[in-house]
Amino acid sequence: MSAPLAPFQPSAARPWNAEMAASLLRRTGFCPSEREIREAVEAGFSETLEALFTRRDCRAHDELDELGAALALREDIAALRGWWLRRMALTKRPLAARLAVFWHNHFATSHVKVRSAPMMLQQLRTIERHAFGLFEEMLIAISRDPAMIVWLDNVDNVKGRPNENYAREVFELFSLGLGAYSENDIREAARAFTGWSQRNGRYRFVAAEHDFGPKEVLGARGVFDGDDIVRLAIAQPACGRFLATKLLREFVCPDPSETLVAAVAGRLRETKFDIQATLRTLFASEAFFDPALAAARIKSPVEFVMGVTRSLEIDAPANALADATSEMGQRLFEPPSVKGWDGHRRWLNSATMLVRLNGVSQALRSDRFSATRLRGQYGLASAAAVDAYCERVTANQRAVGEAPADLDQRLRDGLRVRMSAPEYQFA
Amino acid sequence: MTDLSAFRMLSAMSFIVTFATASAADRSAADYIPRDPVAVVSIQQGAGALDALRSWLDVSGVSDSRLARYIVETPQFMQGQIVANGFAASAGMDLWQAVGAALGRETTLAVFHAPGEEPEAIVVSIAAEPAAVARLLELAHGLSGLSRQGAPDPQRSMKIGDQVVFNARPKVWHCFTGTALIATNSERLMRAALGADDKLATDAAFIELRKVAPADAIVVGHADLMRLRQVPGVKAALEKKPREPLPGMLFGGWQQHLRTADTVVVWAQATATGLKVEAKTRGGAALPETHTGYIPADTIQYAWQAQDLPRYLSEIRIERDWRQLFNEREALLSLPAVGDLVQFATNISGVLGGMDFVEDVLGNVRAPTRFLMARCDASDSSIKPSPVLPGFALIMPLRRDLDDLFERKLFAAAQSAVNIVNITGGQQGQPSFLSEVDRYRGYRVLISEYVDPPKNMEMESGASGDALITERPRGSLRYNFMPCVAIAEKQFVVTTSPQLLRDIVDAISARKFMIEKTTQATVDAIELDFATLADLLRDNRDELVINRMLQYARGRADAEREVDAFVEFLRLGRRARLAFETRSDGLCAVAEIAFQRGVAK
Repeated sequence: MSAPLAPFQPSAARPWNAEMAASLLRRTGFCPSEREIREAVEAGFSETLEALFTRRDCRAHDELDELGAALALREDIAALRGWWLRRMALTKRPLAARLAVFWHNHFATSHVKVRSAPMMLQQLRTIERHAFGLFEEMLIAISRDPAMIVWLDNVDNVKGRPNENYAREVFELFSLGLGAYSENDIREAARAFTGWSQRNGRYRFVAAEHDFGPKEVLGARGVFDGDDIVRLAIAQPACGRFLATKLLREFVCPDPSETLVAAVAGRLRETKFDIQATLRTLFASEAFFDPALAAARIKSPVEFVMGVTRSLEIDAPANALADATSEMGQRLFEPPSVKGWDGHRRWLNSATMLVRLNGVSQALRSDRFSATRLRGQYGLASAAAVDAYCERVTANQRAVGEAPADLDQRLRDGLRVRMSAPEYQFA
Repeated sequence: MTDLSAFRMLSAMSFIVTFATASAADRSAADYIPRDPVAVVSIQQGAGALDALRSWLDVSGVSDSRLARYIVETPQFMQGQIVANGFAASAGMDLWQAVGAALGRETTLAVFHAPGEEPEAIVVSIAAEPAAVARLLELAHGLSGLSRQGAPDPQRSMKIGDQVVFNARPKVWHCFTGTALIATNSERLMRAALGADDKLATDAAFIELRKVAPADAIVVGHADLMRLRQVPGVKAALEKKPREPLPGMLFGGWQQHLRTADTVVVWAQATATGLKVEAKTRGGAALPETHTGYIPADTIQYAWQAQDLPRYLSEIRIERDWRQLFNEREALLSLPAVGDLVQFATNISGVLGGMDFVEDVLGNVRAPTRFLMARCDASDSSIKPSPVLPGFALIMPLRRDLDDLFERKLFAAAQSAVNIVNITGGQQGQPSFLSEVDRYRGYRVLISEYVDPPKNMEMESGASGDALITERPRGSLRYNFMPCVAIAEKQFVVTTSPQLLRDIVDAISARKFMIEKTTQATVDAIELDFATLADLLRDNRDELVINRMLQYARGRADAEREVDAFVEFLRLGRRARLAFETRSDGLCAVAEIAFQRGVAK
């Protein structure tokens, strides 16, 4: 295994403690609650890591999960957005939730053009089904996804008059990145996707519109169809690097080193682009726990909002979650373009930062937040215990200044100051 | 003798003196309240009314309802109940007795307002059982530290004459005279209440106003509109011309009456089936010429009643001369509202196939305009919308002398409008409906129905893998709206549901005649049937449960329990009605609510 991905083992110098547990949970999901941190410390590193991939979800999440179709059929995309975020707020599998948003951004498809909530839900379901699986299977499934077919105009991609939109994005945005293919590759690949259409939200292959002729794509020649194009793209060396870079930007740092990218790309190829296997290796690696790479990324609005509500154990209403993330610049189901959200530094500007600060204040003022309950639940009976709690759940040791003697107020102020600080914007 | 013990002795003496005053027991709340309040509200025989309420809660089934049980079982309610019961028990009473003792024979709230100053309020409760109130107060004073070992805390009390007055919080004073419990946010009012100044009870205008309300009223109140109009917010609201055309055309007559009336008197009575609240303006000027559109002369009474319709839910009836209001728009509305109104008329004329909206449509309709809602029976429909809305209907009577050509032109215009809606929807990729002209009970009708199933039907069959909450295909909100039109017996009917259109035409054809209205008053009314509302909510049970789960973070079982409890609670009600009678010289409002089971009077 490449050196950066050498397995990490807690040691006396770097013990498995609350700080490290919180870091793992935060970077692979959302800011954890005190209970989650305590459970992780008790379970140990290996078991906590395993649980990221294998834990079953809770009943409340599953009950909510079942409502997706009913909401989509209302054609109310705002309700569906709120539903997705409520599921994230309840889930016991935050890594799966983070991956779903990651792939939603990777295969950025917007309801603004698709105009069908059921199709958007169907794409989300496809993403969730394949999020941990083989990338090839996911890309093939996405190529047949009705929302994607509408979004990138593959309904207009017919024999003799190919539309290149989807073929272009398969190479540029989904698998290889700019510069790893030629314009001729796009033209030929577009022919392979002719006739891949949809009707009433179901994939439909229209043989009469498909170009069955031979094509020459990425140096190979044959009677290729869309599945073949996906396989050819994934077989390119650029695909591993492209995907590794995106995964590292999502889970580690915005500018990963060439060495790290090469190591993760190598792991992707070794596992036949098995996402779960690759992430297991990454999260258990020395590189992941490299202190230089900790808190290097700016949290996305979804991470920020989920972090606040989950760590403070606030049962926020679905529409409030949807409004907050949208105002911070991430309106799920409506990414700004085919490239998705730029992320990192682009998440923050004077307007969105103000929304973040106001969001924290509102959350702490809301009647769904109870300092008294949290203090009772975690035995925070002294000022020192309250301060330590605030530092743990915010991963922020910033001093608060003159802290009030009243412990509930101290807790509220401690959280507000730390969550409003620049440090809290990073994960 | 220390100051404190002297204070205690004086307090005890004042208590004895007050009890010993024979006339004190006969005084009413108005004997304590200073003159010239802006508003006064009194609960008459509070303890008796409370007993009646308590027995009604049992008789009506409210106490036994799932919603009541649900509320009673919430931790917050249980905690509050324990504290309240404990407090009452300490004074040797149960909770109801304690509340009854506090309300007493009569409880009156009066509000005073001087221009440029904060409002002041005073509450006077005449105790039915003075000893019980004294016990409660003694306990409350002890618990709150207002008195120590039975003596008032000198830091938080003062004396006005012989009366000890407690200052529980900044700007909150209260005292008990032996028969009257007085509380206020103004030291001035407390001094006036306990002083020898003229009181409300000797005010001839107040005595006169009290005679307006019936003797058996539970709650009686009045507001001095002349004083109330001096309050900046109220003044602005009454003087400003409406910014939106529709509110201006609906409420402009009422606003005008409130601008000129002297007082408004309000009272509430228990009826055999529920509760009735009435309000009447007094004094004031007649409506000006520009406002005659609010009291139309050409009004009919419909022979058929909305309640005759199957699954009737609600009716709003408005009597207006719309053309007259349109013509007087500049006198009635703000400039932006006038602009919006003219724009609306121009736009709608554009889809009326050459007819002028104001002259040809508004000019030929009579009052009242009816807006009806009825639950749709979607059991035979292939598509169930989500959520399920009631069918809506707009009904306007036409002038009797209109010939058949006018009816045909109006029908053609309506047909054009429906087609435009259909085309516009089609351009936006929305499902289209098929509109067909037909005859029903001999009347020409235009019926529109969706022909396409929703595009997502295939997904509905399970493609998404999601658990489905319905056995039938569900469509979006849009599937609730299928424009239908009829002209029957000079009544122009537009509905959102073919079923409702047929039901209305059935009702019209059963009672073809129109009754010319004889009274001079305009009656606007809104009515609601609780049983149908409960049925409608039951139709939408899945949506309501989902909403509770998403917005209130409930689990499915809890969400279902809450929704079912609320629907069951609604079934205890029968009907609610709010009516406004506008005459040239005044306004009267009546709100009534009737329950399935009678009220113990």
